[in-house]
Amino acid sequence: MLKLRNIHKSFGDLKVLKGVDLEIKQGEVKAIIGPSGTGKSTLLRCINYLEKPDAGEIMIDTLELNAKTITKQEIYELRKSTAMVFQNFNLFKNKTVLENIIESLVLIKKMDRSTAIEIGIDILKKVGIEEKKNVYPSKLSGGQQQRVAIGRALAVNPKVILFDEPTSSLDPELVGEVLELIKKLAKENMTMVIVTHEMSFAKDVADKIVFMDEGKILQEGTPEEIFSSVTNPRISKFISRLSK
Amino acid sequence: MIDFDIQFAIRLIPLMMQYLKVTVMLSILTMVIGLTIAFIIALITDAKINILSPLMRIYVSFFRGTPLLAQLFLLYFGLAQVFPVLIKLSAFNAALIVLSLNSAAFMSEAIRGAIMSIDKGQMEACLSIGMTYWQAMRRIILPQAIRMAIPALSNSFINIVKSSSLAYTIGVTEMMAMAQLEAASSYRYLEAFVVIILVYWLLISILGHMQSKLELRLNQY
Ligand SMILES: Nc1ncnc2c1ncn2[C@@H]1O[C@H](COP(=O)(O)OP(=O)(O)OP(=O)(O)O)[C@@H](O)[C@H]1O
Ligand SMILES: [Mg+2]
Repeated sequence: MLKLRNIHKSFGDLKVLKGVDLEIKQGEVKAIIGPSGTGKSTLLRCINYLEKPDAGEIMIDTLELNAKTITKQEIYELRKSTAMVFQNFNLFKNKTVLENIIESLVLIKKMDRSTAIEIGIDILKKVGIEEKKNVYPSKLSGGQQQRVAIGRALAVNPKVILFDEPTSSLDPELVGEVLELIKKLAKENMTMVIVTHEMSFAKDVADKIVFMDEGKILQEGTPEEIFSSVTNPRISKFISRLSK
Repeated sequence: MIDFDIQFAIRLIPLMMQYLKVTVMLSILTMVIGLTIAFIIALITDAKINILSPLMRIYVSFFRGTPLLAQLFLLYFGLAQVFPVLIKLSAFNAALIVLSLNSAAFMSEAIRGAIMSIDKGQMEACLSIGMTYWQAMRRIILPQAIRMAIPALSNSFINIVKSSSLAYTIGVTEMMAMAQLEAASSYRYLEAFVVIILVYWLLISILGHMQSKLELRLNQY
């Protein structure tokens, strides 16, 4: 469903992605793990063109986009079929919870406001925060903000949701509610790519785990393959350090 | 004992109020035109549009880097020698043009600074759900930036009100011109200028009060 082929990205002289291939099937949950500075965030950001890859192809259903020839229109198409959940939530500060959800419905999908509100309320129920619908983000806890951000991503009705360390800036006691919600989406067969440092969560929720190192995918496999029968010394070092 | 003719001062007040209209009108028109230009400059600069963006930098540098009075004289007396159409320009309109262009340079900097102070994540979130750059600006970035810019823009407006007094140097009959005239004809300089200073002070205090009200209203999020 989503296919990346030979994605390259540099920042100046720094080569961050050195030819990444990745395939995500409909309904699949893929976790991306790996050392800091390896290019995990950059890869996610390339998938919805917050960063423009220098070379490579992104295929999503029938859309085939080559970094060398991509047009503005194609970028908008790509962004309508992907959604991003950020580490720092990035909720629209000047919009209430409900307005955050329905912004894309009204502005991008051109729905009339009452239909959008109906859908918005349904989404808020799903992420369990309907009672806060008229509150501004600054009045919410981090966990609540991230659940709204997930709701905002759902409103795009994307083919895939990209999560960049969705719990890394949360207080420990708030991590659980967000992970639970992501697990719930996984059960509903939402296609997701999740960059995370939460190893037990990755093991729990992911169908496949991708280990990235120095701008490349070093290994991909089921959680069992990655965590138990570790063959690569770099991976086993990374995992043993994290589980300490 | 200082010789201060209170009766004379009080008689001046209604006269001042009459010409306050000119000051207020000049200031409000300047604010409206200046703010419009300021937004255009800030957006062009922030969007890094080819050729236009560097031109805007030069514009801002010129108007911030030279005295307002010199700009006023340049347009009204200097350029009128080169461009005969400008001779028909009234003193009021000349003052309005120069004050607007000048204040736009300062206000565009305030707006640009406010836009830059908005967390980059806000724009990224907009783009990630499929908004265009301009949709993001209009719906999310500018509303937040305007709130940030209110104190600086209020300051600009206060400066406009005060700077509008310079218009009297090219012959606009506003409050300052009136005070000057009354002072000269009666030799009551102290009274005339005390009254005008108090009127300005009162006017700007009212503006400050309106600013606090506005900030309070915008502070909902
Ligand atoms: N906009 C940018 N400009 C310059 N360098 C960048 C930029 N974004 C990322 N980098 C660099 O690219 C490299 C990869 O960054 P990236 O954020 O993708 O790593 P990561 O795997 O997500 O790391 P972490 O686990 O710490 O989040 C880093 O060296 C980073 O400093
Ligand atoms: Mg990262």
